[in-house]
Amino acid sequence: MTDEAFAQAARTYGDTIYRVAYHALDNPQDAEDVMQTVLLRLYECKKDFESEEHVKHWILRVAVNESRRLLRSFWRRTSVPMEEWQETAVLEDPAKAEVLEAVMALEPKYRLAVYLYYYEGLSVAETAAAMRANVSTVQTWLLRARARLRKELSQEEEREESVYVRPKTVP
Amino acid sequence: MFDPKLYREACRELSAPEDKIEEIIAMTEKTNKKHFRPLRTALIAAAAVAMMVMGVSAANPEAAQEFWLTLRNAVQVDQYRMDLTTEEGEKVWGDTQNVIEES
Repeated sequence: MTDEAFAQAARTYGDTIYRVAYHALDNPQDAEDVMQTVLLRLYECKKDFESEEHVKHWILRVAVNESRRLLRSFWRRTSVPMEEWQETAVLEDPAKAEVLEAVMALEPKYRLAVYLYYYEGLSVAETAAAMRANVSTVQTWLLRARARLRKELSQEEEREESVYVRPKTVP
Repeated sequence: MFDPKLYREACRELSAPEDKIEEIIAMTEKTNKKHFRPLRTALIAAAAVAMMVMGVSAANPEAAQEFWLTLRNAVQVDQYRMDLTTEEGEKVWGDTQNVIEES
């Protein structure tokens, strides 16, 4: 890959890799590390990509694999640096923050499936290919994820409503 | 209720730090540049020649000895070399020792 092609690909897909890794790892620092690893693998890759879609699918697959590898690593499972503890993305809009928080509260495999399906617009089969899982398994993950999100977000709405006190009407 | 549109908007706000991406691009550009180092090249060439000479002299010491002797003679004889002009005006050259012996 030429330097110009790599620079363009890095600027185009950097955010995509970061989002995939963030959904898998729930940590901005780890997501940046995964992004660097995946981009360097793209730079060293000798593969002839047929189209932009091919590049994107390759990147998504490698990003998922690298994130999983980091997720499984012994060091990450047993220690979390103090400065990185509970460090999450901050969104200004409370509604968006609530949705993202609900998704991030799911298990990593559900989060990844939801991200690839709803944000990247992959089909169930493509999501399954990127995650190296069966199509029926991914369908089940998506169903469960949707059910949990529905439950979580409706509970959140109920909590908000219970906090709100209706002002008394003066006769 | 889960709203996919709201989720997509939330995801759009998640982005990698630009400086990090630029840092990775700069890193790959730096590692790809090939620097020409003349001193290192000369040293490698000298080492290769030395090894070749050693190899040849180890394989055929007599030929190597003869080569060095020829080289030494060429250097030594050149010190006594002189140009002569004959009576006919013809220019000849030879080492002084031979000219002296012949005369």
